[in-house]
Amino acid sequence: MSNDLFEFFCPVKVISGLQALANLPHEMDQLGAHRALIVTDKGVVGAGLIKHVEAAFEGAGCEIGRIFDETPPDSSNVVVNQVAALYRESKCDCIVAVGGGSCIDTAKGVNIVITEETDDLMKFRGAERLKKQMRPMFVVPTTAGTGSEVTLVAVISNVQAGVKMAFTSDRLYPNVAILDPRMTLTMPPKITAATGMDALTHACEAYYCLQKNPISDSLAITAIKLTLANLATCVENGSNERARLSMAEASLIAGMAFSNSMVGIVHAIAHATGGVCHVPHGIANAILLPFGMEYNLGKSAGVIAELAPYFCGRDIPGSDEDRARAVIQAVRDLGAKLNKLSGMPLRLRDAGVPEDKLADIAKVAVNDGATVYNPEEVTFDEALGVLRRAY
Amino acid sequence: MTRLFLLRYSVKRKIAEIALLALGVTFEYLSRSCAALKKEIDGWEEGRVFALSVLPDGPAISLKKEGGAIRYLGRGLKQPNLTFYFKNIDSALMVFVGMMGAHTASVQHRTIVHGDIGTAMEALRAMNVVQTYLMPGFVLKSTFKRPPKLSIGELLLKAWVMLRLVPGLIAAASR
Repeated sequence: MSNDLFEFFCPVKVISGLQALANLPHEMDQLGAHRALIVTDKGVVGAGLIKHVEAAFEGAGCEIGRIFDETPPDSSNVVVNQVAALYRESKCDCIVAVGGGSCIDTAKGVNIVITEETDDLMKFRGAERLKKQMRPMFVVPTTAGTGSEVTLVAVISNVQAGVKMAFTSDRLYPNVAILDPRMTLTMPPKITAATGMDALTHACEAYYCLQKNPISDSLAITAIKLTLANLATCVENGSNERARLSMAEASLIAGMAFSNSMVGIVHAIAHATGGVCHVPHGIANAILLPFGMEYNLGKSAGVIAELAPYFCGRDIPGSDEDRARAVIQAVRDLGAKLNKLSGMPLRLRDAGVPEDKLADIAKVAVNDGATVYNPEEVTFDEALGVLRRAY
Repeated sequence: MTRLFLLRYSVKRKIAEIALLALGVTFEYLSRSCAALKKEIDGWEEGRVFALSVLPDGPAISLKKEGGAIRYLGRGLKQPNLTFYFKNIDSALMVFVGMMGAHTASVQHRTIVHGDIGTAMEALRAMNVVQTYLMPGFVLKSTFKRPPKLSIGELLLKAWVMLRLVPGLIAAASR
């Protein structure tokens, strides 16, 4: 069932497959761009992944103007302004993000600064404030989880104000997302597991939260099927290119789904857990997903139950609640398997969250925009209850 | 036909203006007399200005935290830190006449926020408290995720809010 009114938008061209990266210069040329600023981080460079990007430019009519490889794990306005200055200095005409969520968000922030000719991102916080046509932007993800390559969101810290600034705009979608299995092959098992669970959380919350719509539903189901079929394989055998590519696709498809139907309590608490205790987003989502689904059983058992054939391999007899609980158990079973394979934590206490911080996390979580889209109301006491159960 | 459309738009706009005015004066009154609202705005910094507006050109109202309570600043946008915009007059009316909750309006892309999302969440919760006192129970049942249960004292306060609404609107109309 859809809402009375829904919107769906995803203008990103997706190129996915073996050697997909080789198409990057051609795609730049198609958009009239010929000199790229690469936004990446030390981890990506250290893993030798930038070499694949550089190789793609060999003999092409396009070139790399500059490589910025100092993107921190949490992007900030200081870094964004620094990279924007490099863009101008180097006379680049497009941005290529190569990395995970932070690199992609930094690149989106740079695009705002360049396009709007500002150094004050604060002015553009909120929704739909960007009116100008952005510079061409290309994304080559090196993790399979955030889905940022196909989302309209960027989150960037403001160091001076001590706040995280969220930007959402149809203008923030990259032009092209390139999924090349070589780019995720080096991800260690634990990060593979956590980022994969991030993708699964995007898909699940997109499916049962309030902004669900027929298009995002179909994408969410596809992402769930791909994740369930490939995530454990990637964690067990990271060099399996086929499984890696499928997980990259699952992440992208889940990103398309949640960018158009948003997420709920799991993300609200995971964002807060990351903000207060610096728990990586994928790990927080992996821990909280079954608890968040349980929290919504009262309002959404029927919707969650619809996922039973995908999670359980067959439909489960019984009431909606029985079937929804079987789905949640399957999520727990997957988590347990990934824990055994990679050591991915299953409890907040194992992720380094001190018990006395739970109230602080709950306080931040109720102010997260994702709570609006959660089927059940989320109060401070209830967020704290979910955190205690997940502890 | 065009005149009919203009008339219809004028009526809708007038209803939206009155609804916003009612929200503004009730917000101001409840911020001093309703424990739930006082608790909600307690953590807000002094001087915070937030506004509600209908695109493309109003109507709009602005409210400010001042002296621990909320002050209705009057019509228009008075340099707000945070603004909730309804994308059109029809979407605004659906919320103002109780056909749709504020969260559903967000879910259905009928509103946009300019400003900090955390601040917007705080304002939304506060507006829900105000709506609780402005809307009849059957409307709250269909528009809130979890309809509030009011105590006897709160029901009496709601009756008082209703009684003073019209004089309050007249007094505030000139601000």
